Amino acid sequence: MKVVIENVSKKFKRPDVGEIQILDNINFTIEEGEFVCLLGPSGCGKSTLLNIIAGLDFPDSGQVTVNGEPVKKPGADRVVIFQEAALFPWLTVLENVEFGLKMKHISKEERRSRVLDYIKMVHLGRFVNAYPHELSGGMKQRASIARALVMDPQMLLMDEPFGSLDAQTRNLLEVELQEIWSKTHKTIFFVTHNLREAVCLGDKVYLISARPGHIKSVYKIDASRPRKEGDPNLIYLQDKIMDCLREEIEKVVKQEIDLDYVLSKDGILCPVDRNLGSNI
Amino acid sequence: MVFFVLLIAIWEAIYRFHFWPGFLFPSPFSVTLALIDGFNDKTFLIAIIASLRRILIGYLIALMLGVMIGLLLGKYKIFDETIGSFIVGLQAIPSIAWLPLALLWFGLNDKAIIFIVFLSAGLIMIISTDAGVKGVPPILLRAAKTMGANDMQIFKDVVLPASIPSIVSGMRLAWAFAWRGLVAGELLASNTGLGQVLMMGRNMGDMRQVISVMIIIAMIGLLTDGLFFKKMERNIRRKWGLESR
Ligand SMILES: Nc1ncnc2c1ncn2[C@@H]1O[C@H](COP(=O)(O)OP(=O)(O)OP(=O)(O)O)[C@@H](O)[C@H]1O
Ligand SMILES: [Mg+2]
Repeated sequence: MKVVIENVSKKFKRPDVGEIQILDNINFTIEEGEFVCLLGPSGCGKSTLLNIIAGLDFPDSGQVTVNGEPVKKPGADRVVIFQEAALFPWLTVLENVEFGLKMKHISKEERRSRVLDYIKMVHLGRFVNAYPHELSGGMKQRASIARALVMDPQMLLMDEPFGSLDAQTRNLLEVELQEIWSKTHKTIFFVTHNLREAVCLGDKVYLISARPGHIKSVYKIDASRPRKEGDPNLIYLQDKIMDCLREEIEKVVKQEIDLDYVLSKDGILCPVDRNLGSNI
Repeated sequence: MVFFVLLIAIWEAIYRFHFWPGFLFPSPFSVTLALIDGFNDKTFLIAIIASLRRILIGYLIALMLGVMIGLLLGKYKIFDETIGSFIVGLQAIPSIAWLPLALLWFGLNDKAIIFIVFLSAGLIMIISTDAGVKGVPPILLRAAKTMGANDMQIFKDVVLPASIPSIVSGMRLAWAFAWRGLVAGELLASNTGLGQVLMMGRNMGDMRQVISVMIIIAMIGLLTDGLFFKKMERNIRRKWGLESR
């Protein structure tokens, strides 16, 4: 699936601060079968961009086309995996994973046979009949990956899917995801603010700047797969990207301080202790 | 259990101190006798059956209409902005205040009381169903959309099951309110039922009968809640992962 993002801009209105430009003229192309990582500081609009590609949100200007067709609504051809697993708490793992197929009116027998393969693939075979609240965070996330994969989408949109997991589980799932990708060659758009993860997974890493977000630089990663943790090529790249990323993170910090300053001039965020001391 | 024994002991003690004359404040023993008498001559049984019939009819109608209207309010803005605010207004009126109107509309019979029960339970069902629909986590709706679910499927397979815990809590609350509405209605305007037997006791100056009926009312209320509604609510909340063991 080829995705073209053309001149996409997005503003959000907020009652207190007014309009803020989140995305500023974003342009890039995701090729069929490519594993693309989007890296950027917190709050720069990564999730917003992913939602726009998914069809869950819409740009103010510009457009996203999928295989030449403009995106108008969400579709089962591009399934989103959210940061929180977003499983349905009243359904078992099995029922959760077959949800998408049920929406497609696929018969129960066919559903069951397909679903079990994917549940085994994410190593949840012993938990088919467990409810989400009986699973650990990593298991939930694996179930939600199975739920997306079973629909056999052409593209996976992943929004910091491993963000809330511990380092071990995270590494394990990263390895599993690479395996899945090399087996199925789906197009993957992977959002993260973890540099190591982006370099370890992506064919390409797009670096998005602090607000207003625009694509600051692109890194092509040729290292062979499966990629190993301490690969010197990757570490070299990581350092290179880090310099660029650090600038953006500093900008974010500055933006926050500026905001406080403006607010305190209006007397809204005036530090309390100043008033406490003034009458002594 | 210990608590009940203590309660009865205090009751006996107050009786022994003669704060009130015996006919106004009967002893636990004489009330027990009155209870046994009442069940032997079938007065209480007939009253219980009459009351339960009314509450079941009123409650079931309230359940069906309440869930339906609640779903509509939760789903469609137009209904919410019109009927929704009207219903919140209605809720401010204690349902027993409708009795005079109900008597005029339905006459002095079962229907008037059933109407009071229906109002007591129905409004709560509407409000808790509506709250359930509005409280569906947006992330679940977005997850369903991205898996290609259309509006109808989202409503049936996400919104409806996601609001079940809220609906079930509403059912429990609605039953308690229906029970109150029922007894109040029967006290004031009925010639059968537990409320009426209680009022008859008062009119004949038989406090043993009054207290007997009060005990029956409390027991039925406690039993239905404890054996049925509380269990159902807990099971649902556990299955939905809302309760930690
Ligand atoms: N519905 C909304 N209304 C107003 N502002 C919003 C809305 N959604 C997002 N924003 C703002 O848009 C900006 C970008 O949000 P977004 O969720 O895309 O960030 P992100 O890059 O995914 O950050 P993170 O890495 O922390 O998840 C934030 O500053 C946020 O405050
Ligand atoms: Mg985000």
